[in-house]
Amino acid sequence: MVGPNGAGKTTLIQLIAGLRLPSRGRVTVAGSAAQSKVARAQTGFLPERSYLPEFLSGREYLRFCGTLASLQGSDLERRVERGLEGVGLTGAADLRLKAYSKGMLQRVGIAGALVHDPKILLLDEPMSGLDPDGREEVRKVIREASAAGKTIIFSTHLLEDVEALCDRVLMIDHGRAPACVAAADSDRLFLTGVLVVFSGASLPGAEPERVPGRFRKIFEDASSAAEGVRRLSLDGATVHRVVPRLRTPSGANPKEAPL
Amino acid sequence: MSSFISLFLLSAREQIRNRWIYLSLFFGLLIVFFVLFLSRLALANAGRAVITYGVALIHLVLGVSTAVSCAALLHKDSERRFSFLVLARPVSAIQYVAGRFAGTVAVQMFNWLLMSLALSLATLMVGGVPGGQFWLALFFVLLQVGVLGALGLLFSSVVMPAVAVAAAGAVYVAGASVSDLKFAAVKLGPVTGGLLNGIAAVVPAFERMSYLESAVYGTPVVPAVVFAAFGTAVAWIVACTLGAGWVFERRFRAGGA
Repeated sequence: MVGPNGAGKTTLIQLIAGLRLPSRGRVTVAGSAAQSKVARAQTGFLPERSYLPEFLSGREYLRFCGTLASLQGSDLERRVERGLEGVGLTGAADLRLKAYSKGMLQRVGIAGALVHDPKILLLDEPMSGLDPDGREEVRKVIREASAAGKTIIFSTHLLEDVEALCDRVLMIDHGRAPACVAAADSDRLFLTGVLVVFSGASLPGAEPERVPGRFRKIFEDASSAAEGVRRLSLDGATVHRVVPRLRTPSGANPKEAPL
Repeated sequence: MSSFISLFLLSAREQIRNRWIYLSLFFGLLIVFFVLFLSRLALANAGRAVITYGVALIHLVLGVSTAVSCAALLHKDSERRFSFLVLARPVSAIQYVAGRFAGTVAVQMFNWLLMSLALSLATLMVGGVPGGQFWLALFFVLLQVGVLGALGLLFSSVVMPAVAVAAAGAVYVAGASVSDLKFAAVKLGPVTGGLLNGIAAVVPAFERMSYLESAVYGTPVVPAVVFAAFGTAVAWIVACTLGAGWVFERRFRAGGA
């Protein structure tokens, strides 16, 4: 999910997680009302920058999460170990969370959300506040969860995350979802032009295959006129520029943008 | 049940980390020195002075610390989004609130034990005897403190923690003065009198949960009355905790907590 601040991304995630009741309509997860225990057992949720009890170790935190989902005994221990291994924290399992880096905290948080083996993983801005290394670590965990068959819904402001991780992109603005597209098509929305800077002789490599059709002719013409081109690049838009542009004057019908 | 136990243990560890234990040890020692000093002012029975001041001090210290820690629980969890982490799992709000409350109160019970042992030591040092009625009085201090904490928790589910502590304190003062309220109601007009009688009827009767006089003067206690007071205290604790869970759940799901 992408959208500007206050668009409703967190609210939508919390509705799916069963934490909030909708003021109108209903939210169902795998056929059950989202706030029911049955539905909550099928979702794993990590809020944005939430507090993890820093006096617990990684292993204790996962045990805590597991017992909240009524896991116990050897089944719990097995899932805790598997969870730690899955996020690459086996070596730091007995360290207190206080000693974890932000990236490690986010990874153990995701492991905690996955410990009861939910079908759906909900992450609210999982990359928020992370450095590039931390973001890559979390992306790896998300990719692995996806490869394990989980449906992952997360909100972000970073288009890099969309490109790196998503199959589908839901754009949200003012509580409405004006567009939901396959990530492969997201360039259509996020790439808004071709930037050609003439006068130099060099032509740095751009990626013609990423150029949307409507710009390809300009791009090819500019490329062939390499003599005078100093710089050639695709002009990428930000979430804050693109999503409000999609808003229809009367407000989009959410039914037009199914998840 | 495993969720409740898990939250109970987590809360207890959190409270211990918040250094309530050290605070209680400090106050326990302070109480010993203070009551020993006060007992020197007693004309005759120094043991009575030690018990009177000691029980009152334990009541004060534990009452304030329990009310504050219980009233802060839900608010702090919501601010830190910890309640989101817990309630996104198949855990009811009542289980969550009850587990957090029980863990917090368990640490206060341990504090109570430490302070009570310190006071019994002080009583022995001045030649007093910390007998059954002494421990009965202290046990009812613990129950009163539990009710006070549960009231703080209940009020904190609707108002800010500071207001919740003040409200719980006000209810305590009213509950500890039920006889005075009823007496004043007779003296005052029908409107004010009715109001005072109403307050006396709805607040927990802390007055009937106090056995300090019996501990100091050795007056006999009636078991049936003791059991009734015990039942009342437990009922208030359970009702306030369930009420807090119920209110918190509604506010939380509506996005207000």
